Formats: sequence, C-alpha cells, structure tokens
Amino acid sequence: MLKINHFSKTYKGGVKAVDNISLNVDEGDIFGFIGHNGAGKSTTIKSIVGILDYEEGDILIDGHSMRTEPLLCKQVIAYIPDNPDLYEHMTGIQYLSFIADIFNVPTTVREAKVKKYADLFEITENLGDLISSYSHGMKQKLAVISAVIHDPKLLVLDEPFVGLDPKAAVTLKKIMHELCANGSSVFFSTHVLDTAEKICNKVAMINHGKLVFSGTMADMLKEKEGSSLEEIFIDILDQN
Amino acid sequence: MNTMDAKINGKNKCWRLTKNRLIEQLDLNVFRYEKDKRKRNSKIAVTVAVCLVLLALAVYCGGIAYGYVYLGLTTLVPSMALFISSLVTLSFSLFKSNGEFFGFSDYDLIMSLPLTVKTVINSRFLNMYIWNTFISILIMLPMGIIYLGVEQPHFSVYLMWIASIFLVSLIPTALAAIFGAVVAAISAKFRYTSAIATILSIGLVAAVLLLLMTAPTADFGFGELFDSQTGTLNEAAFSSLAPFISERLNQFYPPTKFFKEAIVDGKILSFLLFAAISIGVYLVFLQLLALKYKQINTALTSHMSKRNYKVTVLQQSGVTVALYKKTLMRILKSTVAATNLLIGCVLAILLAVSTLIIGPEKMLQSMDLIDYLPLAKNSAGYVIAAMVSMTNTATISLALEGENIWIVKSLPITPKKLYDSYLLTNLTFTIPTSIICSILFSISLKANLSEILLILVTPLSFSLFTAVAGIFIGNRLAYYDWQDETQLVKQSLMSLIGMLGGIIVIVLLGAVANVGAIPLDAKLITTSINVFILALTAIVYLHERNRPIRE
Repeated sequence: MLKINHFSKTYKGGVKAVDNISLNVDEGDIFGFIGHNGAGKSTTIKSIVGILDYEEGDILIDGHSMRTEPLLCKQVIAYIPDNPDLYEHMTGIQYLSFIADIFNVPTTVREAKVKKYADLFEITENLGDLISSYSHGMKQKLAVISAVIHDPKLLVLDEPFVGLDPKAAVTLKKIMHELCANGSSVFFSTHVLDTAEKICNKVAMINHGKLVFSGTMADMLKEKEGSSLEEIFIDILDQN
Repeated sequence: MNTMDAKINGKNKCWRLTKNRLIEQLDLNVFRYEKDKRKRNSKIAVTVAVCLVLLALAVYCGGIAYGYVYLGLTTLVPSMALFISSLVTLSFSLFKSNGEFFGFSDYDLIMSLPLTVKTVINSRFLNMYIWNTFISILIMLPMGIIYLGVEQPHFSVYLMWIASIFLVSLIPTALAAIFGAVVAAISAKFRYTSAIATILSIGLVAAVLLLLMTAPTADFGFGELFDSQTGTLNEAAFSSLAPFISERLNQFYPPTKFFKEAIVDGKILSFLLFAAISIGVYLVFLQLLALKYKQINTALTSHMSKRNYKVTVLQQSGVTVALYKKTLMRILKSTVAATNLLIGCVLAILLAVSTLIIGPEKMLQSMDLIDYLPLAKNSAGYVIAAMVSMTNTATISLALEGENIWIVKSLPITPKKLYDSYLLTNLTFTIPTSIICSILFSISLKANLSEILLILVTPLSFSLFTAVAGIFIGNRLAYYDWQDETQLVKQSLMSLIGMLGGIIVIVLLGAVANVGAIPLDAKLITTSINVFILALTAIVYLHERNRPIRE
C-alpha cells in the first residue's frame, strides 16, 4: 500500500531532514513510526501525503508515485496532522461536507458515516457549531471523522493521540483496527510507545533522519527479550 | 513597588510589547537570522522597493507644496499638510483598528501576563501611532521643508512644525481606534459577529461618504481661475482661493485652524491648543476603552455554541463548488478581509446610485468637472472598473489559507480547481457590481446601445483581468505564516499590488482612451482595449492554471 524507496528530503539551507529511508506498509498493517523530536517523522509524513515535495527517492501509494501522480495517490489517502488546524469559519458539519464533496462521497454514505463516527466520538450535537468554538480534542475528533469519511486505503496520522481524551483514544484505536480489518492500512507517528507496542504489527524507528529499524513489532521485541519498546527506543537513541 | 516605579515599569512593558509587534510586522528577525539566503534576499528586495515607493510619495508631497508656492498659495501649505496627513493616516487605520485592538491572535497570551489593561491598549495604540507618524513624516517633512524654506519664519515656527509631525496622527489614530471599538462592541453582542462587524464598518464608511457627497457643494468656481477665452490666469480669483480652501479645510477638520494659526501667524497659544486637543483625544480614548476593553474582547472570543445538531439530509456538491463555497465563506467571515476588499464594490454602487439620483451634470458640476461631461459616457466603464478592481479577493485567497494550507495540499485536487474557486469568489463580488453599476450609469447618462455595451463590457473585462492577475500575484507572493489577518490584508505587498495595481492599469488605459492622444474614435480605442485585456486575461489564465500551489 505504501512503499518508500530511498527517500531523502533536504530543506533549503542544506539541512538533510530525512536521509535515504526505505520501508513498506502492506494492506492490513498498523505501522508505527517512532523517533525523537526533530528526527524527521513529520517531514516524512508530509511528503507521504503530498504536502512537501521531495527530490531524492520515491514514495508509492497503491503503486502510484506521489511525485508524478499525486492526485491518484491522494484519492486513497487520508491525513490527520499533529495539530489539526481546521477551517475555523466553518461549522463541523460544513467541514465534513466539504471533505466529502472533494472525495465525491454519495450523500447516503456520508450521512451514515457522519452519524456513526460523530456518535462514537460523542460530538454529534456540536456539529452545527463553528469549529472556532471547539476544544483541541474536539477538533482532533472532527479531523478523524473527516479522514475516515471516504474509506481511505491508507490512513496517515501524525501524533494522533495527543489531545484526545482516554475514551476518544480507545475509539480511535478501534477505528484503526476496523480499517485494517477491511484491508486498509494505517501509518502513524507517535511518542506514546506503550500504545504503539500494543496496536502496531509493524514499526520503524527514525533517528536524526536515518532509519535505524524497520520490521515487525515481534522482531523488534525479540531482539531484546524482556525489554519494552520504550526501553529499546532509549537504548537505540543512546547507541546513536 | 511604589507608584512611580509601577508607572516606569508599565511604560517599559508597553514598549516591550510594541517592540515585539514591530519585529513581527517588519520581519526584522528574517533579516537577522534567516539562513535561507533566497528568502532573505527577496525580503530585502521587497523592502528596498517599498522604500523607493515611500520616497516617491515624499517627493510627491514636496512637489504639491512647491506647486502651492508657485501658484502664490504658500499660506495654504500648512493646512494642506496637516489635512492630507490626517486623511491618509485615518484611511490607513480605519479598517485596521478593529483587528489591532480586538481578537488578535496572541490576546490570550498577552492578557495572561502581569500587565494592566491600559498597558496593553497603549502598546496596541503605540504600534498604530508609530506607523501613522511614519506616514506623517513622509508627508509633513517635505512639505515643511518647502514651506519653511520659502517663508523663513521665526525659529519657534520650525519647532512647532517639527513637534506637530509627532502630534498630527494622534487624533486620526484615536478616531480610527474609537471606530474599531464601537464596531467591535456592537458586533460582539451578535451570534454572527464577523458579519455584523463587516456590515457596520462598511455602513459607517458609506454613511460618512454620503454625508460628504450630499454636503453643500463648493461655492467657489474653480473654473474661474483661468480665463476661458484666453486661458490666462485670473489673478482676482486666485487671491480669494487660499482663504476659501483654508476655510473649507477648517470646516472638514477643525484642528487645521489651530495649526494654520500657529504656523502662519506664529501663535504659540494656537499650537498649544492643537497639542492639547490631540493629546486630549488620545487620553479620553484610553480611559474610555480601558473601561470596556476586557469585556468586549471576552464577548468577541466567547463563541456561541448551540449543541443541538442532528444529522439530517446532507447535500452533495462538485469539487469546484465545494472549494468555491469554502473560499467565499472564508472571505465573508473575516471582517478585515471583507471590509477592506468589498469597499471597492460598495463605493462603485454608491457612486452609480448617487449619479442616478443627483444626475451626472450636477455630480460633475459639484466637482467642478462639468467640462468633462462629453467624456462621461466613454469614461463610465473605466470609472466602474477602477472602483470594482479594488475588490481583488483572488490576490490574497491563497495566503488566507494560512495554517490551513495543509488541507488543500493534502486533498486530491488540482491547482486549477483551487484557483478557479478563488476566481469564482472574486467574480461573485465584481460581476454583479459591474452589471448593476453599468445599468445605473447607462440610465443616468442616457446612453445609446453601443455606449451601453461599452459601459457594460469594460468593467466586466477588467473584472476578469484583475481576478486572474490576482491569482498570478498570489502565486508569487503568498505566505502562510502570518500572525493576524490585518497584517496580511492591510500591510502585505501582495495586497497593495492587488488593490492598487488594477486601478493604475485602468486609469492609464482610460486616459489613453479619453484624452484624445490617439487620433481614433474613443469607442474604437475602448473596444480595442477590451479585446487586448480579454486576450491578456486568457493568456495569463492558461499560464497560471496548472502552476503548483506555492510552498
């Protein structure tokens, strides 16, 4: 579903934020992308979803290159940034309708999806209010609903659990599992390593722009038996 | 801490806040710390260009003063300098003050700091005052150099002129701030705060303009200044011109009377009165606003929440329509953007309605331009186009995405769809306005069919052109990391080019069509200009439509 081949990203001024990383996310994978602050996680994610251009390597979504066929790639992706800056001048339902319009979601489908997910996140009654009146958590919930409204094949999330209350975090995890059970994939960055350990079947670790591990969660934990993902992460950071 | 220490501390804090804001507005840290040379160099280039424009403005003001001296109207220079400076600073501040004082992006942070409300208000006022004084310097310094150089008055007059440069913007700044406060206070009581603020702002400005337009017209015949037969100067008419204009300026803006008496007659008491009024207006404003400042801001930032939504039938739209609705809402729900950008259309309609009611002859007569009546039919299209072109929402639409830019960049939409939505939004305002104004002008000018067609087609062609040019400008100058909309809409280079660029092009082409420099029929020239503008619009559109969204 997502194939990153020798991807590098250099910012103006010559700083290499991401250096030659390659990884694969297959159908049904919940893929955790972990690293310290400034490691290159957000840069990679923004390149995957087509916000940032890149010069070296390639990113393939469902077999299409984000560089040459961005529209085909974006049709099957949904993205939720770490800080969901949504259109504050819109109401929640207007924003969801806007996203649904862009993805050509039929009215019956969008109604059913909005009802289902807004009820799950308990924000149905707030959908008629302006987004500017929402709390950070409510905006995050709305961003999640907008992301799943068109049944994406690849859901990309940047620090999705920040700002969500415990109940909403559980709901989001359920949604991620549900998507993967239906053949979609989830790729997300996180600092919450306990959560990553529990829900991811694959994981990649990035340190100063370089990939230091990519594989299954089971393989990673097997390397240092008895250690948690958090302990392994600290070990790897110390070694590098 | 004793009272004196607290006051000194308050002043320091006020200056610290103002300094922070100036660093942000002037992008000073980009010059100092930006590692990206391209970004830094482009900032330097823009700054140099702006400085050159400002220098040209200063030279122009000096030229005006010299013109008055040349015509023997030297005593009129002080009144004119003060009046122009006050009018320009008031126009620059009027739609800015609302965003400067209320609902600014770092309000929560600032108010959580150990600062008094007066310190916060003072810092915001000081920021506007510094900008306005800078404008006053550009206007009053060159005019003063000419006046004082010619008159060579007593030493005290020099001092009074210099001191006045720093006093002149106090009243317009305070008036603009009061205007912003009144609009904010009223709109804060409504659910649709932005809409009410926009309507109130435009309504108040329109009311003032109407008042000025319907005020008793000048009873001085400017046409009498020159002998209509020989074209020579009528000295008798000229000698009575200076007191006449001076009196009119005093009527419009009474402080000019005290300033004129201080400078021309050397009356120090009049200067002290002028200074006292200027400072007094500011102090009254400060005291009044401090009483309600927090209350107004709280009302503005407290969002009304109904919490009663039930999922019903949801309508489906196409991609372009969805983007168009989003952009239209974005513009209309931003008071700063709506007031500054829609004023052009409002002014055009006001002028067209006034012309219809009063009649073109009386309108031109009141402006002493009756000699130009024969040109009115061919000029009407350009007049509408020039005013409507101020409503250039397409220029700032991309930059208005701001921190939301990730949404359009990550969605499966082509740049063309996005740009089309910006164009459609712009045309939503300009096309109906152009049509309405064209019909009204055609009726009032009693135009025949071919004249009606030109009055209609000219603003329509220029509306298309300025909207497409707006996309071109936005694609090259847009930036997303602005702190507040006022900065983007009122102070950015792209906004300035978008609003004034169209007017300059239209006025120049309108002059070409009407001054008779080309030995062809004016209608033929206007038709050719329309064909040229439409062709240029098509070329720019085809060139821009697939340009990647600016990083």
